Amino acid sequence: MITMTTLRTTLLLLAAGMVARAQAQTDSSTNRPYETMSLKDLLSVKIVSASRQTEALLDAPLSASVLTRTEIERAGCTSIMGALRLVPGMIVREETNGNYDVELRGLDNVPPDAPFDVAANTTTLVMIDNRPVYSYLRGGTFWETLPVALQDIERIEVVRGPSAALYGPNAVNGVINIITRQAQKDGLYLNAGTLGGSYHTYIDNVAAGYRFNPRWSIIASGNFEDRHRTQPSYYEYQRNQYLADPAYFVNYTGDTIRNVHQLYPNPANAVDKYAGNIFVNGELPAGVKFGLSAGAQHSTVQRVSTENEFTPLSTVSSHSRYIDFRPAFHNLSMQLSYNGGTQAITADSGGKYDFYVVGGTAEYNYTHGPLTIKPDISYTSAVYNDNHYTDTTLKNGLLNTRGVIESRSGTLRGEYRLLGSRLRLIAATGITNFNHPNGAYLSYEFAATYKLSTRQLVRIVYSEAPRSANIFDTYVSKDLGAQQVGNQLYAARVGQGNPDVRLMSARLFEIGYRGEFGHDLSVDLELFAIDAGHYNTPVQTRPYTILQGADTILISPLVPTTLPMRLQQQGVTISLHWKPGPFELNPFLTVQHTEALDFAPYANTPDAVTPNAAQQNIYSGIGTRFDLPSTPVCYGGMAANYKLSERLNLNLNAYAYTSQVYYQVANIVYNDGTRGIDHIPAKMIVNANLIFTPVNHLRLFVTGKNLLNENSREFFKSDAVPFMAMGGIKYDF
Amino acid sequence: MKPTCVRITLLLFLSGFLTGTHLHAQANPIYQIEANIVYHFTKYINWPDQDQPGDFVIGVIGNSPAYDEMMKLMDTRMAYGKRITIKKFPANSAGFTCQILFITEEARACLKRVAGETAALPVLIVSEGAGQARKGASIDLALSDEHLKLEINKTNIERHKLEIASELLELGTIVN
Repeated sequence: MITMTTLRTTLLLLAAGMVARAQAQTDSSTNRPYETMSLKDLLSVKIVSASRQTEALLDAPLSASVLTRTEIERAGCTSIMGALRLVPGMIVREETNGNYDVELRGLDNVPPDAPFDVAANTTTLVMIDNRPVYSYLRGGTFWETLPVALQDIERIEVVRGPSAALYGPNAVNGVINIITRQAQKDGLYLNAGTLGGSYHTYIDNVAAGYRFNPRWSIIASGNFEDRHRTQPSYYEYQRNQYLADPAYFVNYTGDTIRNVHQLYPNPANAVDKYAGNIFVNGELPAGVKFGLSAGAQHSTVQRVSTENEFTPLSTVSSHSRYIDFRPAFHNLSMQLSYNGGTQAITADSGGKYDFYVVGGTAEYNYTHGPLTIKPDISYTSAVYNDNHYTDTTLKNGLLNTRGVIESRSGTLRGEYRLLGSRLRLIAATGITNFNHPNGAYLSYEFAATYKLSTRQLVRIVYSEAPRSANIFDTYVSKDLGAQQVGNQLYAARVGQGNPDVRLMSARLFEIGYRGEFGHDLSVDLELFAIDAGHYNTPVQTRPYTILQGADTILISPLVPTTLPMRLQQQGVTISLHWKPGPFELNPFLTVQHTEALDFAPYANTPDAVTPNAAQQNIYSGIGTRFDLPSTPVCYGGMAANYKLSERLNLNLNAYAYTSQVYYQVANIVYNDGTRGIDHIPAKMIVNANLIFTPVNHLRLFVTGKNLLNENSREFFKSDAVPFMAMGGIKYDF
Repeated sequence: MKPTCVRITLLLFLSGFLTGTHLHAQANPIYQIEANIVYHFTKYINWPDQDQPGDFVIGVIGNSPAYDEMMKLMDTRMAYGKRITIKKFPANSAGFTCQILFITEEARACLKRVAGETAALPVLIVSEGAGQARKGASIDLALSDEHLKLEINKTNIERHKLEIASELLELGTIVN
C-alpha cells in the first residue's frame, strides 16, 4: 500500500523533474493548444470553472465533473441531490422520498457506531454561486434548505479531493458548487414547470425575468415541492422492528416514551418546502460589476438527521433567508453573504435554535508580466443560539447557550505555464485562524498538468484541507439525566462542549488522465489515495464531583474528543463519454478500498466510569485496521441519451452500488449484534425519461424511476425506495 | 502546522515562482477559442476581393478580451497569403474597411446599424452571443451547454456577396 510519505516524496520528485525539464525547453516551443485544433475540435471544447476560473474541462487541473442543465433535464432528475447520481465519485442514497445521503468518494459512517450527526457527511463543501451553505451546527449540509431548485441552475460543478486552499475551510473531501442561471438573451426570460407523480410527489416552479442589455438583468423565481413517504412505518431501536402507527415510541433505554405525533406531526410527509429567489446582475458606469441574489425558504422534511433515540427519522423544519452580494471592480472581486433563520432538528422539544452565518471574501488578481498571483482574504462568523427555546437552568435544549464559530483565512494562489502552456503548475496555500480551537491551520493544493498532446492531459495533485469546528461540539451544555445512587448521592450525565477538539483533516494524492479521441470519445481516469484523521465523537470522560447544598453529585461528562482513528482510502474512478451522432453514452465507475485504522468500538476514555474502562476505551484499537464496511467497494452509473428526432428525446440512466453495512450508535447502546447494525444490499436503480417537444419551448415528459422496482432501503433503517412514475410539463422561453 | 507541510509549501512555491520568467499568465480560454474560431473563418469563407493588395483586416467593435487574443494569435497567421491586421473601430465609425467585423457583446446594440451600413460590402459580421445572427450578424458565437456554438445566417452572408463552404454550414446551426 502506498504511504503518504511515499506519495509526498513522489510528488516532490515529479514536481522537481517537471520544473527542471520546463526550464530546459521553455524556448523550444511556442505553440498554444487551441491554435492547433480544427474548427470542429474548438466547438467541442467544454467550458467549466472547476478551479475557480473558467476553462476547458480537458485543462482542469483537479478531478472535476460538470453536470449541465441539459443533462439534468434529459435524465428526468427531480432534485439537486438526485441529480448528483449522474456525477462520477458520488455516493447518493435515498433515505425518504426526495431526501438523500450524499457522500463524495464515501468517507462515510465515520467513526462507526457514532450518532448520525457525527457520522454524517461533514466534509463536502456545498456552495451556491461560490457561497458556502455549510451548517455549522454539527457540520454538513441541510440539503432541503437550499433555496434554489433545478430550474434555477445552469450547472453543478463537482471537485473531488481536499480543496480548502481554493474554496475555503470545510472543502475537506471536495466541493459541490451549484451555479445559477442567467438570462442568455435580451428581453423576456420565462420558465415554468409542473410535475406530478407517485407517492403524492408534486413539484412546481416558475421564474420570470428581463435582460435589459448584456449588462443588466433580473430574474425572480419560486419553487414548491411536496412529497410523501413511501411507507407509513418507522423503525424503532428498542423493539427492533418497523412500526406502523404505534401508540407510542420507546427510547433507547426504555425509560421514555413519545406519542407518535409528538415526534412526527405529519407522518406521511417526506418533503414540504417552498422558496423564492431574486437574481440581479448589473454593471455600473465606473466598471463596477455585481451579482446580487436574495431569497427565503421554508421546509419541513422527515429524514435521517439527528439522534432522537427513538427512530432514525426526524422531523426537520427550517425557515431561513439569505442575501449574497458579489461586486467586482477590475481585478478585485468580493463576496459578502448572510444566511440566517430558525431550525428545529426534531419536532420533539429541545431541538430548536436561531442561527446566522455572515461571510466575506476579497480576491485580487495581480498580473505582472509572466506572473499571476491571487491573494485572497476571507472571514466567516457563524452564530447559533437556542436560549429563546430552552430552559437554561434545566439545560434541556440542544445547546443551552449561544455559540460562535469564527474563522479568518488568508490564501495565496499562483500559476505558471511552461513549454507553451503544455506544462502548468498551480500552487495554492492558505492559513485559517479559528476562534475554536485557537490556532492557525494550513491548507494547500499543488497541481501539475502536462499535455501529452492537444487532446491528452495527465495531472498530479497533492492537497490537504481541514474541517472547521462546529457549534455543538464546541459549546454544548446539556443535562442528560440523573439518578439517586445513595443517601444524598446522585449520579448525573452531562454533555459538555470541548473548544479544543482537534480539527478533522484529509490529505489527497492523485494522478489523473484525460484524453479525447476523435470527435466522439473522451476518457477520464483518476487514481487517488486519501488519508484522513482527527475524527471526533462525544465520549464519556473522567468523572468529577460537585456539591449542591447537602447533595453530592457525581458527574460523568460526555465530551467531544479527538479519536486516534484514521481512514485510508485508495481507489480509481473511470468515466467515458461517447457521442456518435444522436446517441450519447456516459458510463462511470469507482472502485475503492477503504480501511479504518486504530479504531476501537468504545465511546469512553480510560478514566471514565464505565466497565473495564482501562482496557476498553477509545485507545484500545491502536494498531488495528479493518476494511470500512459502510462505504461501498464499487459504485457508479451511466446515462444513455438518444435523440430520436428533433422533438423526441429518450434517456436511460442507472446508478448502482455494492453492499454495505452501517454501524450506528445503537450498536454500542445494545451491543446485541443486531440493533444499530443494518446490512444494505447491493442495488441498481434504473430510470428512464422521455421528453416530447410539441412546439418550440414547450416540453412534455414522463419519467420512470427505479424501473426494476428494487425495493430495498438505501440507508440505515430508513424507508424503502420503490418504483415511481412521474410526468409533467416544462416551458422555457 | 506540521514542519513537513511547511517545507513542501515553500519548496513548491519557490520552484514555481522562481522559474516563471518565460511563462505566460493564463487567459480566459473562451476568448482564446473565439479568436481561433474567427481565424478558421478565413478558411471557410470566400471574399470576392481577395486578390486586392493590402492586409487582411479583422475589425473589432467594443471591448472584449477576444481582441487581445486575436492580437496574439493573428500576429503569426496569414490569410490568403496576406498578413492579418487587427483593427479596432468605434461603434459610430464612418466606414468599416475590413474583411471580418467582430462585434463584441458589449457593442451589440450597434449591430443592426452596422449591418445596414455594410450591407453592400464584402464583410463577414461575427457577433458574440446567441441570437445575433437573426439580428443582422452573418455568424454569432453562442455559449450554450458549456460549449461555443455557431449560429449562421446564410442569407446575410450571401447578401454581403460572400461564399460560405458547406463544411462550415455543417458545423453550425442555420438560422435564416
